Amino acid sequence: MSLSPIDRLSAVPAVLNRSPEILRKGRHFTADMGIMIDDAMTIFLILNGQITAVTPPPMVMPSYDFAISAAAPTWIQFWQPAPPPRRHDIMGLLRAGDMHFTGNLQPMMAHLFYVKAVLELPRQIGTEQ
Amino acid sequence: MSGHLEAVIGRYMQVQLGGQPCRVYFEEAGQGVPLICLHTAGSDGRQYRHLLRDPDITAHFRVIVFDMPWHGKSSPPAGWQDSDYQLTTAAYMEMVLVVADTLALDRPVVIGCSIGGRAVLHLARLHGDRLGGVIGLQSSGMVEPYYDTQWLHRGDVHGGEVCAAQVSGLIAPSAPSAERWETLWHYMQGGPGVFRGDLYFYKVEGDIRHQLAEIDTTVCPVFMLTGEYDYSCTPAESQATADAINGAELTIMSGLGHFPMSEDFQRFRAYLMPILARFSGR
Repeated sequence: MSLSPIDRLSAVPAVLNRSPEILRKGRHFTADMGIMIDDAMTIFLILNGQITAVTPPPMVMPSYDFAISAAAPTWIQFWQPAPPPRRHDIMGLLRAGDMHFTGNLQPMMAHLFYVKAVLELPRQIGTEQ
Repeated sequence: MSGHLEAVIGRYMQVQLGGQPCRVYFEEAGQGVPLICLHTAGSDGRQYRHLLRDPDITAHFRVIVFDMPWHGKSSPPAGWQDSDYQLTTAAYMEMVLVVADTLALDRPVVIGCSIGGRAVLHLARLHGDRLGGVIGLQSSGMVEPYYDTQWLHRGDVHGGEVCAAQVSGLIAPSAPSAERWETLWHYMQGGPGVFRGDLYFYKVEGDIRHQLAEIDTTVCPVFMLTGEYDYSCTPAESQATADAINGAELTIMSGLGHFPMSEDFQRFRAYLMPILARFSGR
């Protein structure tokens, strides 16, 4: 079964709930995190590390604390089970100029292990054709 | 049941650095060609724990690993609390030479990683006649800033957590879990602002791109090893650096990242041993 990148994001909360080591890292993390795939934003509403709601696109007035943005091919490559060297970490994609962080980055930087782990969960979800 | 003692010995030396007294911690093991090891920014000498304990290396090399002032067990100089730490090329060169002189080392080989990989290039250029050669790991002439290093030292972000999380992706995915997390633990233990202060040398002050051609590899041989997963010092940047040094030898290491000696020593060892053999004559 193949899922679109946005469908894979929608499946993240179920996988996160089976990942106590990630939930532990995020137990003090509360923020609305936007994930932009091309021009389409999905928002994770996160309370104490738990994703309480996923708002898929389209949205008329997206409201969020910070966002991580990249083109769909970048996300698809990043979410491969074994991404190519230097495409395997969000900081590597930032350095390559293929990913952008915007908004108030304090919650993200204060919980960077957690944010990285959540963003890597789609590697465990479906595959893209 | 009792444990057992390792052959590694830790000691302190009293030295003057930047005109101030400093107490520098170092570890050593083995006999033979002196081999000074330089750790990465924001970490300490524990990164070389495997190299110090490898009998095939210590049979032919006197392996010496020191913690730079501000790192590990080497405290900052008195008065540190009143200013921001910033590593400079001059300070880095001085500490390596003072360590070598204090231990009366004869033409040591210097191996360094990341900022240490940059430092060995400066050493080869400025002091090559005092060295047996250099080995640069994740070595580049310059790394342009690609993230805001202010995040590494702020009151509202835990420094240990963010420094480790920032570098976590620089480790290759195939690295053994225990070694990955020990490598990150060292970063979690760095003092406030120290990683950031080291990066001043790495990303601002220590640019050597335009002096690389002045390195004489007939006096001081230059070997370079770069892990393919490193997006801080990329293989392409190491290649450009090696291309600018007449006689430098670069190998790109598969399945390794920015901390080869710490994250996956067994994989790294296969690349390191042929180079060490060039220095030990074996």
